[in-house]
Amino acid sequence: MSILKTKNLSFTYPQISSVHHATINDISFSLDSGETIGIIGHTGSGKSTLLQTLNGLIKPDSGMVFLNEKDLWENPKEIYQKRFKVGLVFQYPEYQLFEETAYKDIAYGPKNMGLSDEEIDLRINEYSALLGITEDNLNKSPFELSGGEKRRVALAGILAMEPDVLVLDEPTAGLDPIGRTMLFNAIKEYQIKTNAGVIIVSHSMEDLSKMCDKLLVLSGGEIKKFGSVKDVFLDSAELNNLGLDVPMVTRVMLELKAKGLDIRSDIFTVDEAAKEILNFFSQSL
Amino acid sequence: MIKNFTLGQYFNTASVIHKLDSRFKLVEIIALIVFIFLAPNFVGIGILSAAVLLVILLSKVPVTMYLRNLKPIIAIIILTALLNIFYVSGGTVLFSWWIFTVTSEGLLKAAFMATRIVLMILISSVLTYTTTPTELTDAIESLLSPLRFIGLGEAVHTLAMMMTIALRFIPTLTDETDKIMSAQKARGADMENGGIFKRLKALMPILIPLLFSSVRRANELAEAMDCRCYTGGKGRTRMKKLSPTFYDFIAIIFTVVICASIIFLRIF
Repeated sequence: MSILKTKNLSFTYPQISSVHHATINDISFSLDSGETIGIIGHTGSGKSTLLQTLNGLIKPDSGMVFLNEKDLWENPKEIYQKRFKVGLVFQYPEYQLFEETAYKDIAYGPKNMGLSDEEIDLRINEYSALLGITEDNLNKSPFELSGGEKRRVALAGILAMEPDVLVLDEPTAGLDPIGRTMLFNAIKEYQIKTNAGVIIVSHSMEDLSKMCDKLLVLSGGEIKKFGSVKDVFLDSAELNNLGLDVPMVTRVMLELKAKGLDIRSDIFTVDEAAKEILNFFSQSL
Repeated sequence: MIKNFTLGQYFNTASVIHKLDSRFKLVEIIALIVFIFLAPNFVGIGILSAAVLLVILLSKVPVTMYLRNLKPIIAIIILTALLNIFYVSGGTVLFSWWIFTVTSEGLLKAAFMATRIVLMILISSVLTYTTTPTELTDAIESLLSPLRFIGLGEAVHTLAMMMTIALRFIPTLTDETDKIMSAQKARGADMENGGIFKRLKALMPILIPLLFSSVRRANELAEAMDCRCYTGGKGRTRMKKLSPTFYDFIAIIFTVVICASIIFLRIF
């Protein structure tokens, strides 16, 4: 069942705005529960604008967003309630932390939802455990934490609202490899537990190929391609035209194939590639 | 959110007004503002209105941009006008009700004051639309430079540098405010509803991160300036030297003529 669907979504920022913002035009796609969609596109392709229409931070000029088959803007007065259902994690979310302790900061969203203190406490414990936030850190000021720890607290603040759809704008930007893996594992675990739909914007094709079921390619505010990870990455020429690339390991496989090795090139993760290469050698030996 | 915020906004149309030496431009515009308040009668205001209109047209900045700057002060203009209408007596009584009396003199005075304020806003908008913040602070620094003779040279430079940095960071901070507001709204912050106390409280999640990131930015900027061996004003030279041109010559004459005519009107 589709949990989030957009139909012919378009939005243009008012001209007077001094900062340049990207527009989006005629965006239609749908996300099922338990599914993960990755959005790729270079800077200014409208990714951030699109994300903000999904939880009603931006009201589209035309087109519709459906959440659980219901129009998101059905009742504009209740739009802020919808934001609990579509949890949006902004780029560098650690800059939104403000409370005295990490614990209180995670509680901010759930408190706005009007949950009871016991329920909030339960959720904080659950999600800080999921993200590996220690008890000790929960009682510290968020400003005392390291960058990676802050990021996890910010993410916990969104997960604690238990959204049906989790939308992440470059969640791993600026994190070290361990931090990346940890964050992605936590997102996956959350998805398994709640069967939430997940949308991830990222520039890392490697991360996306690991995490996503489908990919959506944005350019100039329009969908250039929307399909399975395999479908999108197989068309590497088209991606290159848009200033994007396939995962590094796919490039390696393509090169090997070009050198005349009888090898599959529809491979997008390192594990798969290792398997295929080993396979190739055992066959040729 | 904060989209129609135009303070310190440069609008480049590369007009003759843009090309004027910012030091002279600043002095000329200050002179015009002073003389707007010295103008004794409608003839004077008429001359100044014509002058301001000419400058606005020469600047090639769309008139709507100027009108937008008038919007926030409409209330002040109306209040001033109303006060004048009711408090100024003299002339023929046009209308009278309870303690309010409207006289022809009052109406004229109100129109006079309103025009003054509008002209002042318009001419100062010319300055901000046609002069980059950097040019403006360069002008201020240059005009204040005689203070070095009383040992305030370094203070003048520091002041100018502080102004440049402050102006430079206005768009950055508005952008940042927008982002933080969106992030908190995504967590269910409700800033549109509720009483004043509730709304003030709802501001904390925005102000604290904003304050924190401003301090962080200030630190980063200080480090970046250190890395480029910034040591204050001493021995510092400029990439863009201000130098007057033929246009400045015309602008000075223009301003002098306008001001002289106002003085003439005041004396005779």
